[in-house]
Amino acid sequence: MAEVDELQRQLLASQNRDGGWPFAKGSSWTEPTALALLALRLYDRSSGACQAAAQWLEQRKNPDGGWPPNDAVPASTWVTSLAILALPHTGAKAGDWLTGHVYKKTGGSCWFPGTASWVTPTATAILALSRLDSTRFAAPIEQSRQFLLSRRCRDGGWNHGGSSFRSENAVSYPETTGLALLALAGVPSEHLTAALRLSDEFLKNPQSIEGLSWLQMGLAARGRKVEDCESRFRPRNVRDISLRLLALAALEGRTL
Amino acid sequence: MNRRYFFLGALALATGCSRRFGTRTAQVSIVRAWSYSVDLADIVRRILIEHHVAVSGKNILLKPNLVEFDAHAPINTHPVFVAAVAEAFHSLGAKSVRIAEAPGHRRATLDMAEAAGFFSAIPKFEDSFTDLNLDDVTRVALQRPFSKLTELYLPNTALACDLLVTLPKMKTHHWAGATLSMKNLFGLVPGNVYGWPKNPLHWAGIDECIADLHYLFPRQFCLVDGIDAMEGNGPILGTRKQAGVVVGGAHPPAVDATCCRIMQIDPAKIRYLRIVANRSSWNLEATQQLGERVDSVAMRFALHPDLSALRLG
Repeated sequence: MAEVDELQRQLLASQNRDGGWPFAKGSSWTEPTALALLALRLYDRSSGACQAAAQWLEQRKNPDGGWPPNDAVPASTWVTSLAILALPHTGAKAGDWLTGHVYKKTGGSCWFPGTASWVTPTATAILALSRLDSTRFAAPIEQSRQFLLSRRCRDGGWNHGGSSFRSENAVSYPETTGLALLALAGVPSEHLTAALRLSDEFLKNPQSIEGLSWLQMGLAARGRKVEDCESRFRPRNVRDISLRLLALAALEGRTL
Repeated sequence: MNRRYFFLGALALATGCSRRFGTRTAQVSIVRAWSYSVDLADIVRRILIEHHVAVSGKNILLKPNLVEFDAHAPINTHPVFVAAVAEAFHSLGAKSVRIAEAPGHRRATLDMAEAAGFFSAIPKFEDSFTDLNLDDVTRVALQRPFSKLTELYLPNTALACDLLVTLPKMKTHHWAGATLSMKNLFGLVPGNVYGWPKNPLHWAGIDECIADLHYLFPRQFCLVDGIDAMEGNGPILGTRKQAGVVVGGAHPPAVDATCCRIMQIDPAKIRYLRIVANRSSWNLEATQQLGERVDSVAMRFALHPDLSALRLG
């Protein structure tokens, strides 16, 4: 628990006075704020910091139901998924924003409105819609799962999710493979044999805290026993600290 | 260094250009460097002096091309080259020299930089580096955009510098033909707003966005790492090509056109160069070489089979 205590200390020390978190320093952004709030809540500590963070997020919800990434950027974007995960009682309108921004040609979610779909925003949208109301949003969740399954690389995992044209979709990344596995927790393992084998390989060198954390969360969500090794990567920013805390909680059976 | 064209350099203004007969003529230096073990800082220093770059007291931002964790494939700008450029700017009296990048696919920028060798090549790298994907941003309106964009959010660190020094790797690109100084500016666009990849730029027109970014950053100097370059299925899956050159200049389209000629790619067939040439008083032929001649260093870079029409001649 010493690592958890230290990570929480670092997280609390970097919270901005307005209740949000920067990525590293500077103004508050929705993504690190939502991740930090999720991480602190899982350990049921720091209620004052959590309250301030929740208030920061609630105040930034756009009238269209989505969330902007930062006060300087008014448009609602993919970070809406993270805000939903951090504020699960936010209401179905946020889910409607997500489903209203599915890229119709392929069925996944975009990073930024009006553009194509990619692995990370699609995976986080699945997690958010499942958290909000898995019955009401069953159809878009399934559509998004199918998108993820269609964007696997030849090695069975996932990268950012480019098309395979001109070899752009070449090799998988640890972080997106772990996140996709987390989002596909309801898909039977026999359909993901190559991805699971690849994840075991990635765990030997996940390249970053981000890679290690999503792999651990993705595998733990499938009931796989994942040993934690003392990470040889150190957290570089608020996002890394939060993901590491979320992964350590997942290893104890507490998931997103 | 072959200085047969040096007299043209003497005509260069601080912008790296002169006007002759109504056409803007840009100077571009080509210097041989066969490996990363030669005195690259001295080469860079001589290029900067040759181009009369105002360095003293300026805040310099170095923008390498950092794409992947791989330290061995010629994907990223070589960290030794970046270190040499930083040393050259420090030695010429820069007030500050920062390194910054916003990678387009991977989010763990510092881990990627460490794996790619930047921490070992550059003392106190982490203190001098800004991850532009995590920086605070400011909205910038686009005046007369080529693309469908009307505005861009850009990192404050990039907007605040006195001189942006773009340090691309010389590579073929399976979409744009070549990725050089101008395409390197995609790495200024923040993922924390636009995502990984920065897909709104693709939707607004890749070549047009490259041109828009060029005009958003008028104070630039380019130093292309063409020592170990990449040919074939670039920018990631191509193969090593030892081109053995450093190419530098203050006019990014002229630098890129020169690099294309070195790679035996026709710059007139690179769409973003045509876009800029059509609007400006510079044209694709109005480039004066300093140092080596293009034909003395040119070599045939393999191209993706779909792009064979880009071949020079």
